[in-house]
Amino acid sequence: MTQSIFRARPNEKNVSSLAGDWSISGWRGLSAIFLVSGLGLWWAFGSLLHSLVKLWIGNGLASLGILAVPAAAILTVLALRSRKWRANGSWWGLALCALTFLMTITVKNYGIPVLRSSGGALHLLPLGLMIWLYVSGIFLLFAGYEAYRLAFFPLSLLLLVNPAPQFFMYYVDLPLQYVGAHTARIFAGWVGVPLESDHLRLMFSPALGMFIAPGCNGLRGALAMGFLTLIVGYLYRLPLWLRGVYFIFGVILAYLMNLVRLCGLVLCYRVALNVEPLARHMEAADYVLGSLIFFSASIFVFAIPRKWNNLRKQAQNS
Amino acid sequence: MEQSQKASPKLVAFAALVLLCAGLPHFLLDRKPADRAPGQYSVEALLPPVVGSFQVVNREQGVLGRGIEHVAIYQDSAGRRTAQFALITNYGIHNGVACYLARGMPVQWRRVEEMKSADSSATFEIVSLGDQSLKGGNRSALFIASTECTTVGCREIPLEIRSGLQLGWIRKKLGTESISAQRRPVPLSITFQSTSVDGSVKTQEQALSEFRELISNFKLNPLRELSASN
Repeated sequence: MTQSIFRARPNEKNVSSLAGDWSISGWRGLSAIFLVSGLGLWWAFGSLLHSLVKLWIGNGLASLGILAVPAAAILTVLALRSRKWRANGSWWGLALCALTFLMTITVKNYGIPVLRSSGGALHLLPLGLMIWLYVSGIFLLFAGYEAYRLAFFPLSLLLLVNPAPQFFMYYVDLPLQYVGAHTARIFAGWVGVPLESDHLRLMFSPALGMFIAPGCNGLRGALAMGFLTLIVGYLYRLPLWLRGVYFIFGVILAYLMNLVRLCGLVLCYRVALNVEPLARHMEAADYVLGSLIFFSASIFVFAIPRKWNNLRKQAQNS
Repeated sequence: MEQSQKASPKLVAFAALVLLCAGLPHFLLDRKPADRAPGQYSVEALLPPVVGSFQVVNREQGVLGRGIEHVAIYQDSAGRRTAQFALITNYGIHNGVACYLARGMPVQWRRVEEMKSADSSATFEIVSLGDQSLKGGNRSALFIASTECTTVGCREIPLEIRSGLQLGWIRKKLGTESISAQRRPVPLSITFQSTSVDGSVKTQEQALSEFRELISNFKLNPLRELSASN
C-alpha cells in the first residue's frame, strides 16, 4: 500500500486511485516533486524572491505579505485533507509552468514590463502572479483539476505576497494621509486645541506634537483586516457575494477605525498637556490605542460570519 | 504499477522543463555580474555642516520604502530661521511638496520657480503655508520646496502636469529602474520657517528672499552626481 500525498479519510473509496496516481512511489514520489519544484522555484525566482524578502523587511505595509505564504500553505493542506477527489494530473499544468518560466526569463533578460503613469509604475508581471501561476501549474500537473479547484482560494493568497504594490500606493497613500491629517486637525479644533504649523507637525505646545506619518494612512489596518476577512469568510464558507461584502466592510471599518485612533490620539495629547509623565509615553500610547481599537474591531468583524452561520442553521431547521 | 507509471512521465517532463527553462537561464543570466555597483556617497558632502549663515543642528536618517531618507536641520545663529533639508537616495521619483501637503497643511499659494544654487540653477515647486495657530498671529512664514535632481539638472514637475500612460521596463531587480542616459532622480525637499523677532507680521516676500539666499549657498551638483551613480 502506497501513501497518498494528502491524507484522505480511511473510508473514502478513491484512496487507492488517488494513491496510485501520486505514487512514483509514495513519499519518495512526493519528495521528488517537492525537490524538483523547489529547484525550479529557486532557479527561476531566486533573485526576485531576494528582492521580495528585502521588501518585507524594509516596508512595514508590505511586510503583511509574509503571512500570505504560510496562510496559503496551511489552508491548502486543510482544504485537501478532509476532501475526496480524483487525482488526474493534466499536462496543461506543464504548459502553465513553461509559461511561467518564460515570464521569468523575459524579466531577467529585459526587465519587468511596466505601465508608467504619473510617476507610478504598474508591474505587468508582478512576482505574486508568477509564483501563483507556477504553483497552479504544479498542482494541475500532479493533482489535477479537482484538487486545484479545492485549493484555488488558498493558492490565490499567493497573489498577495506584495499586498501594497507601488502603483496602488502612489494613488491612494497621499489622499488617505490627507484625510487622516485633516480629520485629526478638525477634531483638535473641535475639542478646542489650537495647533501651530511648526515643523509640519500637529503641535499642541512648542514641545508636544504628533506627526501624521505615512504609517498613519490607515492602510496597514485596512489591509490586515481585508486579509483576515478573506480567510475567515473562506473558513466559514460564506456565499461568494457575502464574502465580497464582508471583505469590503472589513476594509472600510478598519480604515474608519484608524480615523478614530487619530482622534483618540489627539485626546491623549490634550490630556498629556497637563500630565507631564504621560507626555513622555505618547508613542507607546499610540501603539496601545491602535492595538485596542483594531482588536475590538476584529472581534466585531469575526462575529459576523458566526452569526450568519447560526441564522442559516436556524433557517434550515425551521 | 500501471498507475505509478502515469505520474512518472509527468515528473520526468517537469524535471526536464525545470532544468532547461529555470536551471539554464539561472546559470546563464543570474550569474552575470551586475551592470554597476550602487553609488557610494557621503551624507556630509550632500548635506554639508554649513550652508551660508545656517549651521546644522540635527541630522536624522530613516528608511522610506526601498530608499533611505537623509535629513539635516539647519538654523541661523539667532535661531530665528530654521530649514530642514531632506533627500532620498535609492528611491526614484518623489514629489516632496505633495508628500508634505498630505499632512493637511493649509496652502496659501503654490508655484514653480527657477532659483540659483551655489553651483547651478534649479527649478523648485514652492508652497507657502499659513500659520493656523491661535497665538501665531502670522509672525512666522513657512515654505516647502521640492526638486528632483538627475544627471541633466534639478527640476520639479508639478503633480498636475504628470500624466499619460507609458509602457516601459524595470530592469534587473524589483523596484530598480534603469534609465540608461538619465539615472534615478534624487528628490530633495526643503522646509523653511522664518519667524519675526519683534512680533511684527512676517511678510511672504521677506521670507521668500531669505529662502532664495539659503538656496544660493547650497550645492546641488553632488545630488546630480549621486543620481548618475544611483
